[in-house]
Amino acid sequence: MMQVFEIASFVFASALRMSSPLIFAALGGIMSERSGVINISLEGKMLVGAFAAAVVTYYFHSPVLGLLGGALAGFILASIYSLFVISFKSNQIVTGTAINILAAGIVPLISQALFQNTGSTPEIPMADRFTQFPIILSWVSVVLIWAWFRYSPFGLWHQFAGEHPYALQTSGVDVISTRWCGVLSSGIFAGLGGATLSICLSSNFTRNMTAGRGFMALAALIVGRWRPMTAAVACIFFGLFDAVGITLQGLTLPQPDFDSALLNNFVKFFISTQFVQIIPYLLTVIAVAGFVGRSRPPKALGIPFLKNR
Amino acid sequence: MKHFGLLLFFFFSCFLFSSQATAKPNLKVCLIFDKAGHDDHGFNESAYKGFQKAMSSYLISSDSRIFEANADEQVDQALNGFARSKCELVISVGVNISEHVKTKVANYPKLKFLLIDDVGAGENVRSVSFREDEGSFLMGAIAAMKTKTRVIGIVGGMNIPLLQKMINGYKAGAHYVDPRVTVLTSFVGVTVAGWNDPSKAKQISLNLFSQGADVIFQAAGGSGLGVFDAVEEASTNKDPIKRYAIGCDSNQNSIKPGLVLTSMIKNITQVVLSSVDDMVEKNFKPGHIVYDVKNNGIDWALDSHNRSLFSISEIKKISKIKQNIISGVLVVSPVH
Repeated sequence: MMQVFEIASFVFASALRMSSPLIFAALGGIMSERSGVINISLEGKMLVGAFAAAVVTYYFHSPVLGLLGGALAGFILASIYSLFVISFKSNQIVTGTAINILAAGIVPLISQALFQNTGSTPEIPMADRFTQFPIILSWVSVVLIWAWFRYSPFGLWHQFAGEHPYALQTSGVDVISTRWCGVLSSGIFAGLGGATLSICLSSNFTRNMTAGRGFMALAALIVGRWRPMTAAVACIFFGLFDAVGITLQGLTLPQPDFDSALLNNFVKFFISTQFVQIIPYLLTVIAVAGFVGRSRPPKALGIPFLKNR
Repeated sequence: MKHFGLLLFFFFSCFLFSSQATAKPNLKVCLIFDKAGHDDHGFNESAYKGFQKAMSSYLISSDSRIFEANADEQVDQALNGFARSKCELVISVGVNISEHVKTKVANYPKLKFLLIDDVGAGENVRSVSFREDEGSFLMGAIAAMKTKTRVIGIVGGMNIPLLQKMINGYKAGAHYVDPRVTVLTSFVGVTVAGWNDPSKAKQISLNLFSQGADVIFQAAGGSGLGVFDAVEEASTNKDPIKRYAIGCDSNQNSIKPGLVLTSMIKNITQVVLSSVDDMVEKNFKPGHIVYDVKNNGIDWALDSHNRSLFSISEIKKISKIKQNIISGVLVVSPVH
């Protein structure tokens, strides 16, 4: 019994840790998509944020500065993105993909200049790293963004830019700058998510260390129906499946002992790590297909805003 | 603008031709790496060191270059580029890339290939493989010697045949020293991203710690740094049990001095150097070379960073096991 409790608490603790970069990135996605701009470039922004955070922390020995550096890097990449998709009205999916590729390319370039290698930073000593702060910060941000959408007039404008941008324009609010704010803050959050990865959950930046988390965050955002609270819960669930997958590998589970070999293999299949690890993706497909309630994107998502229609 | 581009192209081509005309006909070596890059603190880095050493100790064309394939489709592109730029020896580093290169070698009969970690066929191919199982056997034996909890672990990048071979060797070695030792195995991922996800590897190691493991052998490429982080965290957090990590591929003892028990060294630097040497001496022969403990291709790392972790009798014991593997008294089988 004691052991079960220990395992459960371990699983929960590691789910909390593993999900915090996802939460940041999902919040970034929400900020951008609720204002009507598809954000497929979360992965790239996280990668740049992770790299910048590791570099700044390595040089200045201050994780707080590192976190800010990560946010700034995400901000800069997001400003390039919004320049193209909002001001130049280019295709958001194509531009987002281009930003991801740009991020994957620019990181080795800079690290070559700084450390003469292609895509990893030196170790950051433990004293210079965060242990818990970004994890707490991620949950604080969830609450703040929830309140922003619910109680502030800016949050309302923000939502309207994604639902009915022309109605917003009629009421005298500048849609273009609202969307700019949405995408820029999305860059900040995605950058923070990347920073959490490199200076809290591990001790340096390694090549492509985001490992698809930007896209997982996008999935969490869809499962969470573009709402901060539900998206954060979805992230926790994704983290939980990750943690369960990790724990299952180490345990020696009782082998299923049924009469039919088919049934045995069936049970083995469902408790295998590989199966547990695909559950988040399965869940996303199910959510997108509309099986768990209605998952409706903002109405004007992906449609560029033309001021003089 | 258009004209400027043409002009630029013209200049570049002039430059290219002139450099080709003036360069001495030195041997040109090209390396192809997987997406972990040439500085992964492990396998690829030791191959790159071999390349650098070769650059400085042999007369090798300064046009020799490396290519890091970010996607499998780029392998063709890279090989075409090598062939066009008159590369003579192509070295493909690591199983992830070699398994793609080996299917293409027949298309480039003029190039010579050195495949590291995979076996290909052809008159122009030399394949090199390592007896990782022998090395893992040694690591398992050392881990079993040092464990206090009688539980040890191994963390792999993803579940591939190479990892199974290592796990079998590790288990056999541990049970050779102490049959009561439990060996826990874990993999970081189910895709190639598993080789580059240190934060997840750290969680996995913490999980293994919570199940009592006190020595963890990392065989996870770039993710392996997460295992070292977990060990460091345990030691700073005043964990009552002393936890250790074991490095892989290159000597990783210096990454966290005092916390890395030892490393399984694959002597890739030597492999690269000797093949370049054969090319220079014009006796590059195709075939399959196996590097093992006997011919010094595989070894355990003992240096100033971990010397204090072993007593003299322990070192003697490990050397005895190594001697037994070399003399064939102890036969490590790659399959369980």
